[in-house]
Amino acid sequence: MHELSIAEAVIKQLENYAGTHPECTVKKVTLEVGVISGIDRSALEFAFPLALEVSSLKKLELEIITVPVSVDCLDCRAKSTVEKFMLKCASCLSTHVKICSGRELKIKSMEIEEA
Amino acid sequence: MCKNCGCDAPKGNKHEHRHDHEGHYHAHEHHHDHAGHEHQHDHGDQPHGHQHPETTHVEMEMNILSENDRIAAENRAMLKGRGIVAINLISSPGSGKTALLEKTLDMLKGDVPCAVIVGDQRSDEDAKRLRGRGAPVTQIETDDSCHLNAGQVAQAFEKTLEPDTKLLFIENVGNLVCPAAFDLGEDFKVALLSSPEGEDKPLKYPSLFNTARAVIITKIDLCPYLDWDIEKCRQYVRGVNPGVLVFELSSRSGKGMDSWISYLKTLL
Repeated sequence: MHELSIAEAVIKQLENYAGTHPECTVKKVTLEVGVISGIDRSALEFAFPLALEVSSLKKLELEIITVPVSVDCLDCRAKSTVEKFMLKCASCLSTHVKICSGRELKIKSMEIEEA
Repeated sequence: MCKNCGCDAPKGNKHEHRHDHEGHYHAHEHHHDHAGHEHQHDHGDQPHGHQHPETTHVEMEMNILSENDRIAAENRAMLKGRGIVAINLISSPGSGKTALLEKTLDMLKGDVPCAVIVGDQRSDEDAKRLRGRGAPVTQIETDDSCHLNAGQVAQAFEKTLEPDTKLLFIENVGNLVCPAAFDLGEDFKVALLSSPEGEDKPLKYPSLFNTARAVIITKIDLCPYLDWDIEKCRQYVRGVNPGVLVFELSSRSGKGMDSWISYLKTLL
């Protein structure tokens, strides 16, 4: 539901960049979106072009990298990826774990073209 | 080779980088300029030189909500400076956030100075219910937005906080998904789950239940009328958040309220 706010926040940051680099055109932006960030990928893909239309930027490509939930086990020290969202170590089944990825909501990188 | 992008930037090329460092970032830009030269390409027996537009990869590594996070950090610093504990209450619409606050304010009245900021899309119905219980209450109408953000809360501080305020409750817009993503500058989040919603809510909405310090199971007075397995619910809550505090209460009957109130007092 808040994917439009997220799309607008991304575009705002790209506009800030474009404002300080007038010789550059942003061609592509790559986002990292964690599985438990609360963002629905398809809703964000839908909202992004709509937010872009009312911005000062030209059409650009959106790439979304989905980051799985991974945990560090505080008992056996194993690192594992959580499939279904139950926080357990895949190795020793301990629930004494710390989330190390899956909450990302980041602009990872951009491709820009210089005039 | 640059460890960030793996590029083979020749020595001397402009090569800055951008990282997120809890609230600030460093610019961090990859420039592979070709020092004034053009790329020459041989096209069979008709050689010609032409210039390609340069595409440059720029590492950003920035939080998308960095502007919200910046304001939230200011809110947090201000609240801490004034010795105020702030709690962000999040749940689906109708889970009993306002009823819990009504009862909480009544029980803390004259003992702990409280304040409330409450968000809804429209109306001041919640603020009306919460006023007259010894705490200043500010209603924020978010219009079409499904969550509160740090800037809205910052604007409400001046008319809500009093010199002796110790405990600030921020009742977020009823929504289990979006509010979890927006830091408001609170000390911690509390997620509410009412018994009629079903035991499996934490599994369906892990992003909120995982980030909350405490989960309150509300409306436990309705349990006898529902096919409700409270043990299963506890397991699901702890499954997505192993160390979380769990309270079970009914704002209506008052059952379980004492332990919630005692917990609040330990925070001060």
